[in-house]
Amino acid sequence: MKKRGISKWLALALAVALLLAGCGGPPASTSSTAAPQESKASEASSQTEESKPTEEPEESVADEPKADSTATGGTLRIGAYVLDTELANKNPLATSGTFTFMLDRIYEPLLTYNEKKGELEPALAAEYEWDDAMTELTFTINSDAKWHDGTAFSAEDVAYTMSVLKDNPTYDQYALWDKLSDVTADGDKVVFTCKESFVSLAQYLSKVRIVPKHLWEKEDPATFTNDTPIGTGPFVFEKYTVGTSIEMNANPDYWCGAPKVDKMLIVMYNSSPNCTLGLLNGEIDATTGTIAMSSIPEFLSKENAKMDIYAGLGNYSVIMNHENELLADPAVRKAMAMAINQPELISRGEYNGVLPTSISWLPDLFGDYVNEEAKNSLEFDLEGAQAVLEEAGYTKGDDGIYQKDGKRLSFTYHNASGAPAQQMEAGLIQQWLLNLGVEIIPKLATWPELTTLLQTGKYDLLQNGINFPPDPYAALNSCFNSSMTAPTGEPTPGLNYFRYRSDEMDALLAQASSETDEEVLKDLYGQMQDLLAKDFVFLPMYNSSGHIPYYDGTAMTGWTDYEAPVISNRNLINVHPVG
Amino acid sequence: MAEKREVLLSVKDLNVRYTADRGQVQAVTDVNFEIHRGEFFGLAGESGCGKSTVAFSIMQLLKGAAHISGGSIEFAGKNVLAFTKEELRTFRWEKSSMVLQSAMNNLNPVVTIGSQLMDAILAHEALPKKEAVQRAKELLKLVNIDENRIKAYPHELSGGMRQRVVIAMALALKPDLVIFDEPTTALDVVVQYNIIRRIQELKAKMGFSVLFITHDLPLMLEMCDRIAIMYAGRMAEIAPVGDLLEGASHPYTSGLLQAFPSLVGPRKPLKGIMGSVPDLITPPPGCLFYDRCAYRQKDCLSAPPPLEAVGENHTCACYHRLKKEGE
Amino acid sequence: MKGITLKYVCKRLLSALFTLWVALTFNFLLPRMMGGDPAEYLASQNAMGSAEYAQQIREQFGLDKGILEQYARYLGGLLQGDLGVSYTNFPIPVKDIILQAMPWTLLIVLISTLLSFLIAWLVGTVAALKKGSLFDNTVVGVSFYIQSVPYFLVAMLLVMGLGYHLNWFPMGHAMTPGADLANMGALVKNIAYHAFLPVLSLVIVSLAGRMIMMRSNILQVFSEDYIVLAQAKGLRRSKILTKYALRNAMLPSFTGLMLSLGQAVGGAIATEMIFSYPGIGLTIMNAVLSHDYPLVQGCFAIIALSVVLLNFLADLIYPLIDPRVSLE
Repeated sequence: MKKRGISKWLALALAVALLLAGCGGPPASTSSTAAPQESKASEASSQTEESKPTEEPEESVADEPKADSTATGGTLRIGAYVLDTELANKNPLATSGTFTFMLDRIYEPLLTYNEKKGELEPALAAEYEWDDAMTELTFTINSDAKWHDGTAFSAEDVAYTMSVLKDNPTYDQYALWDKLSDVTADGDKVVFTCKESFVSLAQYLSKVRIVPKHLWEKEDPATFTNDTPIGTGPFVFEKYTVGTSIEMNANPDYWCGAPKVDKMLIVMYNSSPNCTLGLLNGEIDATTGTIAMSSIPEFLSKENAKMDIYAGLGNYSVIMNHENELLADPAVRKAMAMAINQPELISRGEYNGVLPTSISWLPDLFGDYVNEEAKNSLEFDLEGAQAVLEEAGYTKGDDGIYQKDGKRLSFTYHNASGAPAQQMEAGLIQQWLLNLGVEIIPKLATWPELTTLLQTGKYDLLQNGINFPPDPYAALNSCFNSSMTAPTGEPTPGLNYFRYRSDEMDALLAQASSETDEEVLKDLYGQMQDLLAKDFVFLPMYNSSGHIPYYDGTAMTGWTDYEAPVISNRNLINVHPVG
Repeated sequence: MAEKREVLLSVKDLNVRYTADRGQVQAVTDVNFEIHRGEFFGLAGESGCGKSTVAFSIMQLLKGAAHISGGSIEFAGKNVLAFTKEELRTFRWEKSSMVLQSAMNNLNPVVTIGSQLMDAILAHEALPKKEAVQRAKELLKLVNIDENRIKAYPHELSGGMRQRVVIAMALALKPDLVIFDEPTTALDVVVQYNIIRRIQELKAKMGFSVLFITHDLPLMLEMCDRIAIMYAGRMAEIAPVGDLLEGASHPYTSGLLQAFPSLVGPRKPLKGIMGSVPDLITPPPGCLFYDRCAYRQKDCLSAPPPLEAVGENHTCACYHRLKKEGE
Repeated sequence: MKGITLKYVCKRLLSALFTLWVALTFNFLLPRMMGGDPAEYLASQNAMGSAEYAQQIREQFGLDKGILEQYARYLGGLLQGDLGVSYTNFPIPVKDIILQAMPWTLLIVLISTLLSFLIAWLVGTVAALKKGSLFDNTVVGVSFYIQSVPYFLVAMLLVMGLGYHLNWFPMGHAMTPGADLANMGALVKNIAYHAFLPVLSLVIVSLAGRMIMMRSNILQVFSEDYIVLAQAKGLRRSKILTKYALRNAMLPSFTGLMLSLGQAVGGAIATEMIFSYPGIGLTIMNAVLSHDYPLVQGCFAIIALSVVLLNFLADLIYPLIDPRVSLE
């Protein structure tokens, strides 16, 4: 039958075509941080000793931006995974639904946090000083700073911004006004008066973008969407084209030096794979951190391709509910922690695009506060893990699952649905736990549902990220203080989803809350981290690191003249076309 | 006595086959007949005997796997089978038109009947629209339908009215031959009576020939001048009605005539014809009616009997024709 | 209008309004049936899980009120054209978000729907006319094949093939980023150039089913007796095709077309993701994932409204094209 034959050959030809195309297919998985609000470049962190996946030799770094006579002009093209809805509100004080990368180029805080150095650096404040009681912080403002409309920046703007936070608590993300009693401008100084000692105030202020009083006092800040943003930063907002791009011009009067490029073009992408394609195609010079993790190897194989990786203000871990009878046993927790191969998790799940989270919680960007010993105390050891269980009296049943007194080690394991990377990582961890001899019942839920489960404690094991502000006290207190938790069934007031209760930890935290001596604080935080490492509160996965892909030397160069993340303002003003 | 009138349609040795899964079906075999001008010619037979196929062959509307494998069809001297596309298009409806069974399906449901009438007209005559409308209205009058219904849709008319519309459509171009394929089978007897009367009136008025196809033999005995009986794709007998009323020549015809009960007279048990039509893909040798024939003899098995003249305009295909009463 | 009475229109209108009301009520209930509290979620994202923050959010958006009161506010707002304010994009009104994304959505989806139906009708008709030929067999074979290929694969093949490797078409976006397009002509050309691949992907995938349906509609109509009669009447082939065959064969497709047009405002999520095309689809998806009730409700309300409206229009138009439809 001639006619049937032709259809058969046609089908075969098309099948072969599809197969061939599929082999050279596009990047599949999305970035690990899949919840829409989360999948942007993470918060600040510091450089670690862990080597980055690149083989390039370390570039020599200077402490100040180089003044040199290289080529100028051109347009810096940066890709971002950002939706049109996030550009509707350009209010830099809003805590959700805004495009933070763009806002950080236009607006500045008093001080910026350098994730790589682990230090605060001057921005709109030239310097700052505490009084002896550490209840009064005085900033001297940067007299070179100017608003984009030419008006001079003044201390009034700072006081005004803080008053807006006071009047609109939803903008006061870190509830600063719970601890502040007053903020006054006095000439070229701003004085922050606190109710009691507030050691990390300066770090929190690095998250508050200052807005111009003379433009904002006419508006209602609660609903002001700020269509034409005026800031003090190195780039001036020019134009937004719906769903396509944002154009910004270099600010010639920028106090730290005018950017060498003429324009920055932020190209918007609706998905991580599409952004990655643009990057691989050379359509853009860098991204704000968006890259399909599985494409990292392919990207790095290209000429001049580099990845800038630095720790961020969030940790992904398997959160354990200590009110579960079996998980209350430290031996069980320890064994599970030892059974997970963290390096393999990071290499297979995130293609080494992130830094590991340590069992002692604090990421590297906290500099000297990080307890190195505690941080490196956990190692992957399957046999050792099994030995721990057996020593504690658990025996392996015929089904390969450990049990004691008739109770089997069996837990539900929740993770996010619709997030392929999360799913894959969950699969790896579940397999390792199974190898150990722990039974896992997998469950899926949406991100908001996961949050509810965590808050009410209706879970055994739950894979999720926890974010915290740039303050080691907050990072430890809100997560591990027993006052920050609640019994199962009631929502937690803070981030202590683990239901971790330790008198020792509470005592250390109480001491640290009023301590002002830097050395004492270091010691206290060190002890807390030792405690966490001993108690195996959670199963660490990886840190919400910044991972910035960029091309150095193709179209643009000058990314790393300064020791800071490549997308920080101090480096962006130096980026220039290859001469 | 029928006068010798001009032959309008002449079908000679018509053979129609169609391809089925098991083989070739011999739907029509060696069919011969003539229709004279102004004649009311009936074509009868059981379902599936091939009478519709003959009609469709004349109009060259055989569909799908059916094809004319042999023979000739001549209309007013011209060979229909050799027509070009355009010749065929003008032949259809100007010379010969058709009224099909169950007019509901024959009318385009989404177009007004007026429009469909005008289509028929305008496809053959270039008229200005107003004139075409006028002609359509006249056609409706012809079949006793109120001309205001010209904008009606088929579903808005009763079954009988729809059939009349189709008849009016068939007469739009005053053709020489109108083929009626079971036009009243789907209608009740009262409507059927009216339709038949209408056809007779129109024929008297316009002078066209009629090829009337049905399985209702008594009906045909009332209206037709001559009747042809088909069986299993072959012509069994063609006779003037008068001859048939005196007695059939072919055993099948005789059986058919006896099968229809009389409305008057004493009650008699129904007399059918036993058996069923043979397989037309592999027909048996000899006369196809052999298995069911009450008068069969051994020589009937040799070959199918040819159609031979037995009287004035009367032919029969049987080796052992029935004698007419009184002969 | 022939046959369309005021009574018919009113009946259809009432029916449409009732359907709309049911849809809007489900619209209100469904997001709330998803587990998880949006206030808590926002608090966990932005304020370290602070319970006061969550409570403030609840008060701000009236989530602390009883469900009936929330429902009343919701319906009341809708009647005034107020679709509320998005939680995750506070303080942007939902209406603004939808209006911003709508033009691009409609551009892509409407064009591809219309093109797809048009091409399907043409190709389906030709294939039916040439039933059994090489053309027909190829068309049917390829259609069945493409129907089983998932949309995202077709779209990604186009992006990778024609975009990334061959560079014939842009890999995404509605317009060239950062381009300075002087006049209207250049702008239109640029938009068309960027819309080509997304529209092509949508057309390819939706074409197959419609083409096969049209083909079988025509074949079925061809087997009807009135076609035989039309041929017997000696009508020209073109007239038989248009007035007798297509007029009947297209009727089933008509309702399909109206429904598809109605759903166009829902956007095409996969298209928007793969081609970075600004549209409402992704907005909806993210709103659902983050439990942004007003945005979810607003978007689905628009979709419901659009479908009901187009259905209502279809109800009005259909009797005009098919006289058999009863108007009672």
